[in-house]
Amino acid sequence: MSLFRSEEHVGRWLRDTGHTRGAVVPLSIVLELSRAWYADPREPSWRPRTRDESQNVLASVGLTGEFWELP
Amino acid sequence: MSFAISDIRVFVYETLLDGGRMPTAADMAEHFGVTRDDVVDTLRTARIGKTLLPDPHTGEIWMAGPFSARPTTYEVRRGARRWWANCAWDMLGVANLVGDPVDISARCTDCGNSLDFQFAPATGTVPDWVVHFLVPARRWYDDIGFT
Repeated sequence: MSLFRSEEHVGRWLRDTGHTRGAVVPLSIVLELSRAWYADPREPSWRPRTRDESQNVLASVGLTGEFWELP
Repeated sequence: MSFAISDIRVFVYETLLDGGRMPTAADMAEHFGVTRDDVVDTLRTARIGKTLLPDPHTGEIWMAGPFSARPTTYEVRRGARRWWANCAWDMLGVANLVGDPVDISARCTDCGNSLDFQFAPATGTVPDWVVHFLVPARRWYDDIGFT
């Protein structure tokens, strides 16, 4: 999950490296994702999420479709 | 003193957030009054993914999601405390866990230019930049270092 200044920079990097394009997400959406994904691990009640719970977190910020399907 | 993986988890994150550094297995052994091998074995068998991921060779914590024990290009600072994040997603995860305004330093993966900004979790505005997810979600945990 790498940071880029813009979509143009992503495109140039893909051309230069030969990598296949994955998914480009605005940093503002990644912020929403990070808020929903990372519960405070200092809390005694913390536990790992189930696969379905993680899938729901992705969907809650609009990340749906085959690319975002967890195993 | 007895200890469980949940005790280690809380200790690791408290040390990270309060002290700005990843505790070593020796730190944890001393804190809990056990041997370093006890700590390493507990971490190895915990299998809670990237939440506490030990280095397979040294047994030391490599990732305590979203934190990295090793320097990365995603750095979050508050005063004298400094943390490294595993990726662009995690740098915001670190900032949110810190909970106070932080300075974030990163680089554009393409051109290498600095991408620095101040971030306040309470207001939560971020620059108009983008994140590229190279690996589809079904393969995120095949090689978490690469992902």
